[in-house]
Amino acid sequence: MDKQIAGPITGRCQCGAVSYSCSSEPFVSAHCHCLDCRAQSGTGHGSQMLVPKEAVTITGDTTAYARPADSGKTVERHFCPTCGTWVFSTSAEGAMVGLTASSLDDIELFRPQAVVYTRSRPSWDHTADEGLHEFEAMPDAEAAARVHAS
Amino acid sequence: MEKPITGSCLCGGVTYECTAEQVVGGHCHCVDCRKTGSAGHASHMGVPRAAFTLTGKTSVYSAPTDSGNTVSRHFCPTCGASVYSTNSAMEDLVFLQASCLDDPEVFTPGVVVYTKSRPSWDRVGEGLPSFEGMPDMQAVIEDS
Repeated sequence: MDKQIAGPITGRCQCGAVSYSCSSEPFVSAHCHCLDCRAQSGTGHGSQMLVPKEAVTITGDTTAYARPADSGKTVERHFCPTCGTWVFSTSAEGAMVGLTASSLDDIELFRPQAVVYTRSRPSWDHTADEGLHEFEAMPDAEAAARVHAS
Repeated sequence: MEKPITGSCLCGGVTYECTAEQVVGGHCHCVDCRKTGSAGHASHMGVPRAAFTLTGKTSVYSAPTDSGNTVSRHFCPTCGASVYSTNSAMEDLVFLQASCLDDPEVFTPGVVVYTKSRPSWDRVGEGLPSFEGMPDMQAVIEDS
């Protein structure tokens, strides 16, 4: 990738009780307007950076809320039980962890490449620069690979 | 108004109803607002507290703002969704998170605040009146 990040990616919740460190570059970063991401987003979309599970170390206890996604996979959303910050999401079947952009210590490390679930985008929520990959729902693996390479 | 404003958290354990129109609406890029959600800003809809009815139990996290006021953020202890907040400087209002509205189209943003901490990739609310920090909210309400 041409987006080398120096040093680990770190982040934390609002109160600081939950923090993380990630030793890998992100696989892909995107905004998601699906109803589940939106409900926990504070706005009209969630913003997440997907990184390999094995590269992430979490410190502190989170509460997880698990719910099936469109894909059939169960997505676990982990938040700090003290301040409520959604810190990351994951699934038992998947190899990735989604770090929320808002929890990053340096939010500029988040470099969005795609917008997904545009079919449920609120009319007032146009966050991203034009030119990002857009998908009405979740892209398939082939499309995700194109986004990754972009 | 035709029908009340309604909303719920992700799991449905917390719901609300509001029988009055929006007083003020906007996007905020301050770090604390960002962290209640997951993106580069949070979107708030100020409504009269007297018209707001909550069902279910929330957890509350209160923290001082840089203006010296206290913002209390209410979230669902089961699913973590941030449902609403209150601000000690504006006791007559509650701020519904646009994310939990049953119909997000009832939210009308009119202002963007704390642009000094806006991420470079977040262009929400372009063209709306913008403020580097927190403006005089009374003036914003009168203009909206």
